[in-house]
Amino acid sequence: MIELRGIEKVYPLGAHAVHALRGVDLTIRPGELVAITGPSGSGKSTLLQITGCLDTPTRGSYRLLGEEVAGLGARRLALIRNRILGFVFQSYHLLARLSAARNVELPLLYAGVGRSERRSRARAALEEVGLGDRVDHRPSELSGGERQRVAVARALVTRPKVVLADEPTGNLDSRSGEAVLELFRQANRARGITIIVVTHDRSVACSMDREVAIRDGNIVKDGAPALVA
Amino acid sequence: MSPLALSRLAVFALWDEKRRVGLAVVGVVIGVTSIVLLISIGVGARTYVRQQFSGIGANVLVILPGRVETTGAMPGVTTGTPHPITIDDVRALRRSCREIKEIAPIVLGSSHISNGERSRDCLVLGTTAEFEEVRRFHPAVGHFLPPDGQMSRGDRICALGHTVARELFPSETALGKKVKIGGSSYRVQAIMERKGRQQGFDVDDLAFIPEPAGRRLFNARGETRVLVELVAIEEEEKGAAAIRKLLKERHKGVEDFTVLTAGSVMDILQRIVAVLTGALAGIAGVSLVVGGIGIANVAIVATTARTEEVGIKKALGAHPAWILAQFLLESGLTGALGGAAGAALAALGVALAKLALGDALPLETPLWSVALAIAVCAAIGLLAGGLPAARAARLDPVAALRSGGGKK
Repeated sequence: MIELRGIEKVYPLGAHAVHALRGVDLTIRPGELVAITGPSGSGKSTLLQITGCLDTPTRGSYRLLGEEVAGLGARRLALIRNRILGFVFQSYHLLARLSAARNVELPLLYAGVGRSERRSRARAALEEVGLGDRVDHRPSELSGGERQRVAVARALVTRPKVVLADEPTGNLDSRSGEAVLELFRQANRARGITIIVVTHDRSVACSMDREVAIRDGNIVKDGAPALVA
Repeated sequence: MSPLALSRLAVFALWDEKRRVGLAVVGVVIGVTSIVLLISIGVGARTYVRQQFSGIGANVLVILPGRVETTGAMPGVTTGTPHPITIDDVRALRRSCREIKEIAPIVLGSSHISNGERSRDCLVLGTTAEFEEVRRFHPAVGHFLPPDGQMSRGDRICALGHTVARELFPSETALGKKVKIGGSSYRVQAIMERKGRQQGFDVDDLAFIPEPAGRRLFNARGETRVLVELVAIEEEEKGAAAIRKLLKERHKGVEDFTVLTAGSVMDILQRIVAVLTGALAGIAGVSLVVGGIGIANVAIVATTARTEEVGIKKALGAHPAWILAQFLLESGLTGALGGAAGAALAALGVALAKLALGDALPLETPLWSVALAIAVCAAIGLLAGGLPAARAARLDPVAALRSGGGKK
């Protein structure tokens, strides 16, 4: 469902150009549970952003569900992000002034879902992540682990095909982090949602089915995760 | 996304920034307050003039001795008129001016009037029978004064206003009784109908004596003012011109008198209001611009401070147009809010002024001015918020999310 061919990303930086990705080929099939690992600056976040249609590659082809998306405009990409993809970020990225429920409703709002359906789906999504009693709390009234679970609920509420997570456990203690990862595995098992997690944490990588390791913009390893890289 | 949901998001965001939004709209509020107040004064002044003239009929002109410039003293106060408007002038006008239907001379002054022990001071008008027709002011009982030319300086008859009659003769009718006005005795031959206040004074508190007696009483060489009823209302300007021409001839080519028409009074008032409007509109304009800058400032700060929010929304699949729409809606709402607050303040000011001035000036705030103020301010808000909003809509989601201070 995700086919990246010869993906390059070049950031112009003054007189020099930074090659974040140098011709990445990657295929991810529906229902996979994938970790993308690598040190800082390896290009793993860039790869995730391109995969998540938040960014476009400088060169190469990206087919998502059979559709070439590499050259699409901002509007079309927004639609794809809304309908097909879900995001979870390291720093949660919740809107501080909205309650947990309203945060979860937001992507449904952009999808044009009616009010009452938005309400019930957001509530159900929050219950699914174990926050049924926190729907009216604002992010500032929640712990880090709870905030990240709200973010997971927000990513899942649109019933996406793919969830992309950028260091989702980076700000969490190991217990909260494990709870979040368990939510991903559950969504993967129960609904067949493809999960792609960017991490530099070996234990996180090991809890996935497949590990894609990146170094200096190239894939250096693709296979079952191992405790020692 | 439904407009309702969008507005709710915008309102949430505004509420979050309520202090900054409040400060930003101060300029707009001041601007709108002055504009709406201005409109209220303008509309009030126009209503005032209309009311004044409706009391005497729209096709009535007033001739005053002395040349009144728009910036000069009050009509009739000017002294040193080379030629008074005499009763002969009035008769000449009546004879020669085809546009004139009725003409009534008035000698006006204040005098003591008494019935034995009971006395009061009131305005006394020396006039003729024509006054009754021109002013549509009729006796309740008895007969008003005789027409011009059918009375002599020796005629000692009078008509009393309702209040005067009641005050001097509380327990009996005044009709046929004698009163003393300025030392001479007059027989009351009419009591006027009740009219109430008109043109700023109580017309029931008047006494009427024949025009020649009035001139003698006040030692006047000519008339204080002359009321003219025209044949047709459309002839106002033509009539005024004819009167001017004839009087000027009779006054040896000097235009030492003033012909006031409803239109000319309206002109004078409008000129005053225009000067006032110019000054206040300048202030209002400046404060609206300042207000617009304030809103623009908040919009810039908002879109900068909320870059992360824009990134989040973009990641969640918000169409760029919706980002634009929300920020625009926010600044538009901010402007409209300022407009509404300003209009409310102006309405309060008008209410207070009414309490203070009474019915001296009929101020009113027309609804259209309030609607206009709010609409203009919303437009200012949209204009001010346009650029920052467009910038936010174009933000690159990756960069916007990074600016949220999230990663590493």
